[in-house]
Amino acid sequence: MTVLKVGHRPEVYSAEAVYFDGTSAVPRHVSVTVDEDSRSLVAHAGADFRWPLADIREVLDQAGGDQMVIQRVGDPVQRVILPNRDLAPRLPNRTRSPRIAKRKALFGWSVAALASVALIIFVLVPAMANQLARFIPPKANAPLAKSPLIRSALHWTRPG
Amino acid sequence: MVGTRRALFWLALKTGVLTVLTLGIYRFWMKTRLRRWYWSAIRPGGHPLEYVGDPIEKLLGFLFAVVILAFYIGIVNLLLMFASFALFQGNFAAYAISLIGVIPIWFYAQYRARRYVLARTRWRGLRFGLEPGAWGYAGRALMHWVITLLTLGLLWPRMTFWLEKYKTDRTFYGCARMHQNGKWTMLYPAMMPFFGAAALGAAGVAGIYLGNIPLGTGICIIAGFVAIYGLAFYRVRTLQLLTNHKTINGVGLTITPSPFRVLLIYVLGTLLACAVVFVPLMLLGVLLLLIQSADLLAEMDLEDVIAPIAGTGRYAIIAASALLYFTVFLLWSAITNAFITFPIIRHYFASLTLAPPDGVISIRQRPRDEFAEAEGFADALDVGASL
Repeated sequence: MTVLKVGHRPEVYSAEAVYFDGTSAVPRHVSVTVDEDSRSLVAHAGADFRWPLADIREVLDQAGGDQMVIQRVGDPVQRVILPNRDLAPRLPNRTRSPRIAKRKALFGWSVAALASVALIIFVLVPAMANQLARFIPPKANAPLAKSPLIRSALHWTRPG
Repeated sequence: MVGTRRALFWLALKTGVLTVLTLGIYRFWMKTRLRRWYWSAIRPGGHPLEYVGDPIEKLLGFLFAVVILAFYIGIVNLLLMFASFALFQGNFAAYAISLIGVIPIWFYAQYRARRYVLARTRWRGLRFGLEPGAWGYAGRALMHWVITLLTLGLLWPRMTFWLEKYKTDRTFYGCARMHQNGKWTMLYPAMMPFFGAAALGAAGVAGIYLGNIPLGTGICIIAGFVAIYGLAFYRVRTLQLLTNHKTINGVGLTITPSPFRVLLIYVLGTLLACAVVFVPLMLLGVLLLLIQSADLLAEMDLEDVIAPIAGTGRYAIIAASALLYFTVFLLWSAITNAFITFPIIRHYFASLTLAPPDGVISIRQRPRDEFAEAEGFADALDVGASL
């Protein structure tokens, strides 16, 4: 049986790229192509990897605009530097998060941090101020009561 | 080095607008995106640096620092204040102790910020890193500052050298440790303009004493300018001398920046930024004056005079003032990024060479430094390690 593929077929992609494996500082010059059947970026000479196009993320906000740095989702260290941006339209999840940082834990800690600030300001400081006020000798208290800052504070807190 | 000032200007302006619109929350993203851009513009040996910091960890770090500072300002200062009132019948002692207490935290924050930034920097797929040692750094920095101040700045190069050596000897690229070689006395040539300024200043003061006030004052003013150049000269020349004596895995670094060029970029960039924000700033001044005078005239029962700018007109003016204020802030940040920070970084890195260039090939990866608090303290205290 003959299978006829109908519809737009993307142009064949191939490029000479630089690959960093994330364990050594050696730049590896590799040829990469897109395997249309498995929808993956495949390395040929120089290294051996096969990255599904949907798993590829671009490293964003790069200066120059002449090359394109890509990484694989969930992988913090491997990088491929492509000599141009021709692969960009083929990457469905190009600008999505590479999901490296543990953001859930970070969010949890942020909430805890805000809660402790509220605790310090609204509970600890007023409670301590009341306790410590007993230790102020009357001699020190007298000039304090006359200071304009304290007088205005008392004016605002006292009803009437 | 790659990248254009125009691209950076738009990135800084765009992220700045988002920061204003989100009431400041986007600034952690702004900082991350600008750093990514800067890092990628630097390509030692043809391969770009990469910045991999996460905005959320910066936000958390900031909040964490806020917790500690709230504790410090709220609880510790409260205790100090009460102790001060109880023992000394006044609050001066509390303020003094509280301020002195912040100084070591400032140095501590500087070191932690450097550790975070290095831990989030990559080159050729390998991580940089800085060993823990922030309190050691803070202690040494305090000691060196005291010595420098007691010797009226004569031992400044000694402080510059030993603090840089402390940081450099704890810096890693992959598994390779960096070394700061050389001696502290090698930095004295960087002090030459300062010595010139001091000599000129002494001559000027002598002139004033001897009765020739115009000549003496003139010489003192010239001495001031020489001292300003001296500051740029010292910073650039010490950076060059220190960098040229650094090695990592047998690879030596070299840079050849020009102090005059760096000062010129600063002066021209600042002038440009001032010129651009001048018109919105003037407008803002006029509007604020209008609001102020409206209050004054209302108090003097002269409401008819201010009728056109009362009611809704008044709110329009306040809104316009706020808009102008943010315009000034955004333009300033975008211009200083594009016309000061970037040109200076470009100038430094354009001359960077590594010799022998393939000496880094044998270096292997280092493990990730989690460092969840990021650079929160540096951010909250603004220690000047902002880029």
